[in-house]
Amino acid sequence: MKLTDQESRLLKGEEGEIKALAMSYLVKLGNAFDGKEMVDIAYAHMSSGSALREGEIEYLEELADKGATVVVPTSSEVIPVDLRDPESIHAPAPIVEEHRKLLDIQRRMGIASTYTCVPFTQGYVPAKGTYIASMESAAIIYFNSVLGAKTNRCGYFVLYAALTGKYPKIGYLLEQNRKGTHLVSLETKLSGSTDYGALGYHVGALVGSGVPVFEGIDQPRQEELMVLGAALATSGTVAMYHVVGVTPEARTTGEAFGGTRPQGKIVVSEKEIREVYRKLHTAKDSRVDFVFLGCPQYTVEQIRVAAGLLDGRRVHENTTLWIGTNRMAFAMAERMGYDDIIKRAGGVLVCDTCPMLSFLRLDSLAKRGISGPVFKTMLTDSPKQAKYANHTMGCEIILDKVDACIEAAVKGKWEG
Amino acid sequence: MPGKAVGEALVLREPIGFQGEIDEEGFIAVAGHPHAGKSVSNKVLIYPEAKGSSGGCMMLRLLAKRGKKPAAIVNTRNLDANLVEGAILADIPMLCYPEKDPYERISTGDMVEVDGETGILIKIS
Repeated sequence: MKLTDQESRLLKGEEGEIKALAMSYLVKLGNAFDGKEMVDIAYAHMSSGSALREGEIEYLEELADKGATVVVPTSSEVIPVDLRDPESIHAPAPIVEEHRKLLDIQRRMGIASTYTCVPFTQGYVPAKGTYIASMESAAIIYFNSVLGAKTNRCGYFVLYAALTGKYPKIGYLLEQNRKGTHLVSLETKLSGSTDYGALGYHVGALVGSGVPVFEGIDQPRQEELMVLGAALATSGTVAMYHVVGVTPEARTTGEAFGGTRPQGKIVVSEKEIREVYRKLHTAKDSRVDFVFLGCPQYTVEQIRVAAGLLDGRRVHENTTLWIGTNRMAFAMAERMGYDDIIKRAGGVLVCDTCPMLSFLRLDSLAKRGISGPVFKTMLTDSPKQAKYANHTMGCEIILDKVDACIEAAVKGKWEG
Repeated sequence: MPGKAVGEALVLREPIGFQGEIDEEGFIAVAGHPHAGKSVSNKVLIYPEAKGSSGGCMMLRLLAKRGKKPAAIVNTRNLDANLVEGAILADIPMLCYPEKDPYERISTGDMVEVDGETGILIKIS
């Protein structure tokens, strides 16, 4: 890998030991992919160093104590608790305390404590063609596919990228890896974001790490593309998709494939969409004690819809309803009165966290000597949450659309 | 990724997600998975490619901290940057695109040797 003079100085430690360490990891990564050079990145979305993984927050603190700061705009990922109102979800005090500490560490390092999987809904909207470094598979795929910014499926190394402003030019930062691999023809009409999620879940399993090109998706909403991408990156390793006419790099099907031949053609009809709902349904009982909406985190518009469905009603006494979002959407939901409606109905508008990454995980419960699961049956409108919560929280799962989820929350029973 | 390792092979024919499908002790935690309940710790994991959440690299790092990491990883399809990060952090030899199809010649339980530098994967016994 060829380094510029400035990059060599960073690597040699002329700008401090932290940047030298960060650079050495980035060079190792570049070499593993036979990368030729580094690029400057315009933005980073990094892990919050969840307290559920021991030692991560302490490591960030060590860096902050040594004066480390990020050198590009940097947002941060979901944490295991809601710091706005921890009591509303009965979050354990020690985990809350640990993350209040994280807030301070991030402030010192210049990292925005967004605690989100959808930073592009909160002012972090990198421009088309810019190189960025993002973790969170649901965010990565949106950056690449909807905004046209270029990121790999980064993980921990986003920290090193944010500290140096560099990333090796590998993978999805290279034009040739962004071309379509499979043509997907949609031959049914999708209704609502969960259907988009079902489409993504079906296609992701078929294309693995490919780049699917969707034909027949017309005027998709932002939320639908968010859920589509999250699901593609759950059943597969998809980091990028093209929606012809929508993705900046796919004005036409030809442009999406960039002169290459599709490796495969996938036709999706109503039958395949229904099959995903069936496949993810693991619950034996129709009684639901947990309803979760908001994976990825709900936008203001989705909160508006959910609040409208809940208005004047009451969540069943045996059922817990969480609607997951972030602080920015929450502020707007509060202003618009949606939070009041949800609260009056007995639901909780939850910020910062997400069940499958929260203190409700079986491993987090076990550390506190609690044998889980806390909830027996989870009903959700997200294929991503459905898949992961099944393993990490030990819940039996039902997948359905938002209106059916709210109905079930009120009745305590899913009648799909 | 450089490094050598010898260990028992664990051969998966389907992609696996390190975040969500493998627990913090290194066991495959997917109900109905053909290898459910088996541990990846100290095994030479041979599989097509990683899938799912980008938390996978942190999971490898955690497994390493706990002494539960795989001895080596052999990735036969596309290489995921996220997983390579994990292998660097966890210091796990990793091999990509081995020349001969490992699924033809290596089965779960075989002792194998991996050299991440030369890209060689051999069956010892």
